[in-house]
Amino acid sequence: MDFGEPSDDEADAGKVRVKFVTKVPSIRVTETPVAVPESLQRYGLSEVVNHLLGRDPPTPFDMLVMGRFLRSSLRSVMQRHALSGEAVLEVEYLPALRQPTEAEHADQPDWVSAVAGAGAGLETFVTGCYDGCLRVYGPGCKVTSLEKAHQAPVTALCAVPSLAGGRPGGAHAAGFLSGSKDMTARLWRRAGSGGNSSLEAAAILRGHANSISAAHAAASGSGDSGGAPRAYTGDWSGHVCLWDVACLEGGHADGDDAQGTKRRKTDTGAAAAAAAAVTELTPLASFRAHAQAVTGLAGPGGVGRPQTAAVVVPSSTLYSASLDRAVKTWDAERQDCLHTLNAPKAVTCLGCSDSGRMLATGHPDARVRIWDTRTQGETLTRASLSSHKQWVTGVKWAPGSETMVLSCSHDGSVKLWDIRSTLPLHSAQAHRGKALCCGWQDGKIVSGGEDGAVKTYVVPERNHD
Amino acid sequence: MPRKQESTAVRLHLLWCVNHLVLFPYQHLLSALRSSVCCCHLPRVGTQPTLTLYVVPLHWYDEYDHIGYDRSGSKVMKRADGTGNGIDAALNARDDPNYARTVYDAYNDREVTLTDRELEVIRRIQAGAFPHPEFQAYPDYVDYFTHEKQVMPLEGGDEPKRRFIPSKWEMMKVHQLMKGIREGRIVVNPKKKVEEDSYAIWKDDDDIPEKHRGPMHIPAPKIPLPGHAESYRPPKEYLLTEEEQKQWEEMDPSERPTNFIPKSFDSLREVGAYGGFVKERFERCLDLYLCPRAFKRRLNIDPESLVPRLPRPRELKPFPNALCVEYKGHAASVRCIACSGDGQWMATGDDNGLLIVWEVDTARAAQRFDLSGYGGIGAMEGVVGNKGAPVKWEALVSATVKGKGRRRAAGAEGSDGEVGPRVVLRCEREVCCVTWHGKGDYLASVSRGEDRRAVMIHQVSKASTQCPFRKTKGEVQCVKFHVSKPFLFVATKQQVRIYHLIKQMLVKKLISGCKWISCIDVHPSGDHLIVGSYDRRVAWFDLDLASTPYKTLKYHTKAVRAAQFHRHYPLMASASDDGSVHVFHATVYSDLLRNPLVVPLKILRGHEVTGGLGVMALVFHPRQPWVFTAGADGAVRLFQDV
Repeated sequence: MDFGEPSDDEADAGKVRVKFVTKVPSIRVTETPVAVPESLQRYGLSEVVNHLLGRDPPTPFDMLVMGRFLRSSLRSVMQRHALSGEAVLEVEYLPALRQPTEAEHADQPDWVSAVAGAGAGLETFVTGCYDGCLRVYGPGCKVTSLEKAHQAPVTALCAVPSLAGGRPGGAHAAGFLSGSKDMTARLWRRAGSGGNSSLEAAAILRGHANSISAAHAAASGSGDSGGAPRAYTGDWSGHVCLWDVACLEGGHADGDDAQGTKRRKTDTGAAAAAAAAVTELTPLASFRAHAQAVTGLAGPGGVGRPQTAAVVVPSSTLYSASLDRAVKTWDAERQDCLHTLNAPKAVTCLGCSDSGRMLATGHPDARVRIWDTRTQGETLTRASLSSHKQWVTGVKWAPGSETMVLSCSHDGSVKLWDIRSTLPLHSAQAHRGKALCCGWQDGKIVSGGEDGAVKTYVVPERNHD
Repeated sequence: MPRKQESTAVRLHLLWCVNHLVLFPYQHLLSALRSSVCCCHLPRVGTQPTLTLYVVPLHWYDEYDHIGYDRSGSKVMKRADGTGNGIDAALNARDDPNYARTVYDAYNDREVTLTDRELEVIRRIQAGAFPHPEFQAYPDYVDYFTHEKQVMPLEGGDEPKRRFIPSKWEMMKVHQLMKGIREGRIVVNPKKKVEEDSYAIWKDDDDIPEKHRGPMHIPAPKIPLPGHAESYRPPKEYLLTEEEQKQWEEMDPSERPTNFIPKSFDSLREVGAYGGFVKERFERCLDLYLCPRAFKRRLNIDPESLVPRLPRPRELKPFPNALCVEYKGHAASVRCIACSGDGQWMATGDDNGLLIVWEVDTARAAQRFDLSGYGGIGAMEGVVGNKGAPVKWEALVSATVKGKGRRRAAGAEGSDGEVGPRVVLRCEREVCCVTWHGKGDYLASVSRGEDRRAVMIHQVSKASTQCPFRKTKGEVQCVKFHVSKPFLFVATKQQVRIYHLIKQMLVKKLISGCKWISCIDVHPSGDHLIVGSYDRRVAWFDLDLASTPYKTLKYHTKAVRAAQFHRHYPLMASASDDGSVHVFHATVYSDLLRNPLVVPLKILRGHEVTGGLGVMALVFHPRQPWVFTAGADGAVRLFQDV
């Protein structure tokens, strides 16, 4: 126990008074300032808090000083912020996030290129593979369904939120949207649940003239009165197509025609019965969003978002990222570019927080950059996170968190970040070769890579007890 | 008569002496006159004197009654009346009408009466004129040539008119001078600049003009300071052992490391006088005296200042500087790369005839084609087809060394399910270069040889082939289409010829200065060309300027295999057999007066040299500042900007 007992007079000169505060009531300690050595780091302060709480098996705590995670000593923080040693330093502590543990593992015959979760409370997620198949995984990481979806590798996959009960941004996925290098996207309806969940083909989305590289689906529309579910796909020529995917909720084509969306039957005559469910959709709108390939589409109101999360941007907001280094904010209904952020490097992937306020982008220069859309500048990044060794292939913002980001890279690692620190919280060497995709499914991390493996990691809850 | 003449002369002199220098002894006067006066002035002098009086002073005879001796030795007696008395003289003066002109000759002791002429001579001498009255000092001038008037003169016509009228040319000259004076060009009597001869002696040397400074002081070279060995008690290691001392003594004095033997004394008191002092001083003086010293002017130029000021590479970002992705799959050396227009696909071909289409971002070999039946793949180029062009999507053409060029459509292969070569063009000989026209309808191929089939242009939409040249001058290495104009660049071993395809004429001939051209590339603006060569250099041509290179870059240590401009960024790269890729910044200004700026940025290494071959192919990413390289080691790499 070396956290500065009063008897320890030799270190008296380098002491600072800190006040421990927390937002978790159950672990609150006295707010009386405590003098601790300046040289203490997170571990030392965590020991102090454990001592104050009287916990016998100590539990680790993370320390927040001036809104940043403490990753060095208190002295360096004080030097950096030019703080006087006489001032009381306020240190916020919270239970540390434990190392995620590898839970399940599944192998696929080809590279796993895309992954999407079905939402909170379900143990279902879908992966897209380079053999053109979609695989639905149920509990225990078992394949419950396999659909030969595309002729070419699946490159984009996202869950389409359901509009059950008129709530926008439902927690569960009504279906999935897959995009491929064969220039088509397909819409899949989720059927079954648990161990026998499967996919039903709902529609073929034709409208792109190049390989599809990004997909996003959200409950959009004007107001809360009942927005229409919208899907967006971006391709390698820089075009973004806007699709109405209400057919997913309506069940079958009969009800959909009444809604007046643009669609047409692919089948005629006798074949209609067989392919009744598979309609061919044309885009509501198609616009050239970028000069180069659209590599990321994101927006608020994705699947897996807790009901409590507040969306601070209009639900029709769409963010798009491209290799031309621009991250654009769109009013998707009007196809109007509201704002453009210029990244210093090409953007390869994009993630958006639940509130729609924070963006994370991955870049070929092995960096993850964090953007705050409220800032007015064009080149301002909140943070530039560099720990990956190679090209970042995917970033996903953690559902229900405004600070936690998941990223994967060509170096095979999957990293969990908190944007209040430039060092990753946790890192796992998930794949041999490249890690190509990552995603969240009900508190678990799912990742796929070049080695054909799908891995899930359980992220422990922050232990508040 | 002779005697009379002589005495007259003596009298003359006497008179002259009386008038001027009375106190001179008479004899001295006479001798002086004799030696100086001209005979013609004194015509009577020259007769032999009858007396031998001259040799003694006259007063020696004062006590005698003779005044000398004649030639026979008998005395010449004084006159009886002698000097006479005053009364006689007064009587004579009354009686003798010639008394006024009579003078006494003391030598001959007689009276001489002067003639009129003699008086005239005396008068003239007294007046300072020439003595002889007949001498004309200022005779009338007689013109030697013209004093005789001839009836028929040899020359002398009428005086010309110009002698009598004012000269026109003089007037012009005067006007010129007047004008100059008015304008101030000509200064009449200019004030001479008075150079300051005085200067302040306490001024700094720099302010004093050179001529006022004395000879430049050259300090004597300093004697090296004494070291430890010269101490009166040097450390032990400086003292010589007996062997060393023996060795020292045997050495020639000029070869000895020191000119003394270090000795150790207990105290400074015991140190004796230095025996070699005088000799050493003498040698020092000899050194100073015999070795002339001179100031050497050394050029004091900072070598850094001679290097042109280039922007730092940091300011010229972005450019490819780090290895990003490796594409693994080739076993043989990869000779060619092509990249699709949107940067999604990249294709490589190797010597075994294996053609792989890669996904750029994931390095996945999307498709493999085994073309080993055609031979190794030697050249390849991709093109983005316009919508109106017959090539619907993106086409890729590859050439094989067995003499069969082939091309196929890539990118669209998934949609119609057809995978494999679309068209096979059979050339007679080995194809070494293929290139697309920018619109994607025309395709040029180069075969080995110098006949009409060396360069062929194929039209895809009409499935036709033309041979634009009846024969080529030299073996064609590669061809390129101009970006916007109907020009075809044809590179032979040492030259690049630019042909106008519509007018069918030669537009320009560029002399590369290289021995064997390996590759050419046209700048996207169409006004610049780079030429890579097997003799290690990359030549940059400005097509608006001369037919010689604007710049020749000799940075590679081995043959340059590929060189390319980036289509959008101001970048240029060259790949070489030394295993390195050099990336340059290459800004071309639209201002015609500014030269292109070429700055070396980065050397990308990583490819291994296999069998003497390094990096074989290079292509820039169409939109990003990234570069793909392929090497003889079978590796394909993507370098990107970090």
